[in-house]
Formats: sequence, C-alpha cells, structure tokens
Amino acid sequence: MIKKRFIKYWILTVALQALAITWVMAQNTLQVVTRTVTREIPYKPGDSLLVEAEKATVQISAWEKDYISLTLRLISKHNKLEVAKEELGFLQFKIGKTGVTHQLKNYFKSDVGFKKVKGILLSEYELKVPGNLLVTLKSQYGRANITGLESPVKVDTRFVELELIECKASQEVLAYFGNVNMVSTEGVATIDLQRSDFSLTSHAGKATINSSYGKVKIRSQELTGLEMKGNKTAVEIFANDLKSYHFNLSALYDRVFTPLGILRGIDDSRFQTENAGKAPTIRIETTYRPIELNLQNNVADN
Amino acid sequence: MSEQINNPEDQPADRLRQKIRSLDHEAPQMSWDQEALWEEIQKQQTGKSRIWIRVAASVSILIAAALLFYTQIPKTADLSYSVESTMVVSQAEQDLSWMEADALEFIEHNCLEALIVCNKPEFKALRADLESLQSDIDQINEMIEKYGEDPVIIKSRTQIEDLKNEITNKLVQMVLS
Repeated sequence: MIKKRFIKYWILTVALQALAITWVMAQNTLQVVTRTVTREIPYKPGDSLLVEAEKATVQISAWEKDYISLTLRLISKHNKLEVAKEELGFLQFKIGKTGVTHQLKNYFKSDVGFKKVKGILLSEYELKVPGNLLVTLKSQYGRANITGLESPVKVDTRFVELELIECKASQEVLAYFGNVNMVSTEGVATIDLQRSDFSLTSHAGKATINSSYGKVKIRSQELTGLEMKGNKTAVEIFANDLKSYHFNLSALYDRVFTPLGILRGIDDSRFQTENAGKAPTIRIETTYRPIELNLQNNVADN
Repeated sequence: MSEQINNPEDQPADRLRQKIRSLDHEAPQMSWDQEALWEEIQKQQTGKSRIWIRVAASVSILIAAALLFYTQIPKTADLSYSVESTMVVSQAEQDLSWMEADALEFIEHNCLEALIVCNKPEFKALRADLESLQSDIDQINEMIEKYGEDPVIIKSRTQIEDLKNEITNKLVQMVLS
C-alpha cells in the first residue's frame, strides 16, 4: 500500500518537474519573425549609395557585377509568436534614388500613443556593390563592416562597431562612442573620433586623426605620413624601428613611453627623432593620456 | 369443379398453380452468354474508375492551385519563422540613481557657495560633459522604447553610465579638494 502511494507521489513529482522544465524552456525561447527584402538595383558609373541605418547590422562588400544587390532583413523577436509578428510592423524601410544617389533607409514607425515595444527589433543589411561605387553610411546603434571598396567611403556613426577592411581609396570616418577598426586600407584616411577606440592596422597611405576621450592604436609599416591631435586620448604606436619614421610625439600632462635603451631628453612628455632621409613623419599630440612607442626590432639596431 | 365450389378459399391458389404449370411449358429456357456478360461488367467498372480518376485529378489540381495561391500572398511571401534560445537575465537591478542624484546635489550645493574650483575651466568642461552624457542616455532610452532591450543598446548605455559615474566622481573629488 505504502509502495503504491510512493509510486503515485513519484509520478506526480516527475510530471510536475517536467511541466516546470517545459515552462522554463518556453520562457527562454524567442520566436523570431524575419521579413526579407531583396532587390537588384541598377548601377551606372558615377552613381553613389547612401545607407541610413538605425539599430542595424550593415555589411557592404565589393563585387565584380555591375549592379547593387540588397538583402534587407527586418527582424522581430519575442517569446510569443503573435507579439513578434505584430511588432515586426514597426520596422519600415525605404529604397529610392535622388539624382545619382541610391538611398536605403530603415526606420521605426508606430501609431500615436505607442509607449514601448515588448520584444526586440533589429535590421540587417547585406549589400554587394560594384567596387567603384561611392558609399556613404550613416548608422546609429549597431555594427557595420565595409570590405573591398575601390572608391571613397564616408562613414558617420554613433554607438557602432565599425570595420573597414581592404578599402583602397580614401576613407572618412566620424565616430561617436564606437569601436573603429581599419585593416589593410589604402589612400588618405581622415578619422574624427569622440569617446571611441580606434585601431589602424597595415594602412598604406596618409592618415589624419582627431580624437577626444578615447584610445588609438597604430600598427602600420607603410604609412606615408600621420598627423594626430588627441584630447585625453591614449595612443599606442608600433613601428619596425626608429628609422622607419620621423617621430614627433607629445603627451601634455602625461608621458611618452619608449623602449628601454633609447636616449631621451629631460622632458618625458616629449619624444622626437631627427633622422636623415625621406622617412615619413608621424606627429602625435595628445593631452592627459600617455603615448606608448613600441619597436618590433631590437633597440640596439636603431 | 365441385371441390372449387366447396372450398372457395382454395380457388385462387389452384388457379395460380395451373397457370404456373401452363407457363412451365411455355417459358423459354433461361440462358446467357457468360463471357459477354463479364465483358459488359468490366466495361462498366472501367468507366466508373475513369470517372474517379478524373475527380481525384481535379481535386488534386484544385488543392495545388489553392496552395500556390496561398503561398503567393504578398504579406506572407517574404516572412520566415525561426526559434532561438536566450539567456534569462535577472531584471532585479539595484537602483543606484539616488546615489548619483545625491552626488550631483552635493556638487550643486557646494558650487553655490562660490568655490573657486567650480569656476575652473576643467571643472566646467567636466560638467558640460556630464550634461552631454545625460542627453545621450535619454536618447538611448528612447531607442530602447523603440527597439527593445537589446544587449547592443544596453551595452552602449552601460558604457555611458560608467563614464558619467567616473566624471561625477571626479567632480566630487575636485569639490572636496
């Protein structure tokens, strides 16, 4: 009798546990509704592209075809499918052309009296463009990756993690609260940063950097010149050796750190080299934060 | 005949019996061609099955057409559905805004007493930064209302809040020094 009662309780316990686990799993599961828009946009030489993204992931890469391929995904997530489907309607987009500029835009639109979404809304752009297309990206809150462009690119971001990879013409970047990562780029780079972290790796060409409250890391052996003005920005620079560039480094109210064994003047907030020859100049001025110079080769060789 | 008269009830039966007997001799032999009959039956069966095939085909075509029409409806044509798991994050955050408000009130109160430090350019710049950061936080809160509490946006807000706390702390230290 006791045994039977025990089995009953045991079955009841297991059933309740299974129910609880199922409920918890249901709570941890998001229903994802995606609206996908695809377009093939004709391209003529001289055309440009303006992308205005909000809370979006933007991926732009160059290809050899003579048209722009757009895949735009508007995504809504919520525990309940019905809510996710309903809130997807808040995500809107525009595709148009003004003059020679193709325009793409995503935005949020709600009825009067709207207070707050219950789920999560986001957009994803996947763009393949002719390499010669002039691209301008304005983006806030999200991520962006631009790869392989052979024409000038302009980027204006707020709270965006940005990557520019193998862009071969000029790059103009304006970033507010973001991480900017440039790798294997060429040409003239003009970078304006506020409260952002910036990394310039293997850039072949000139670079002009203005930075306020941030961190800048430069690791490029093929620079033809670098001018940087920093305000409360820490700088870390890597070079092969002291002969690679003329260094003119100044960290007002802080220090310039150099590898051990390098002769320095009394003022540790400045460091300057006077090499003969046609080595490009790296001039960096910052305040309240240090500059750190690292050399790949042995200091004794310098 | 006398029997018929005596038993009137038997008359119809006898008449019928006699009639049958007479028919027995007149009726032709019941016979049929079995092969012809089977052919006829098969013909009829084949005809019926053809009709059913036609009906089935028509229904299939109608169902296929309905499905095709349903999947071509513009509103659902580009929609896809999936499921993803997510981590449950405790929403029971400690509200520390009163501490920040206290610190700001402390700074305001002390600056009203014409402290020299409050007029220094660095102090003023930090206060301007603080106001600018508060404006950023307000904008981020608007974004959260529109797009939800996505980790990307929450991370941005946390970044600003950290910075704001750092600046507030600096200002308090400057007032105290």
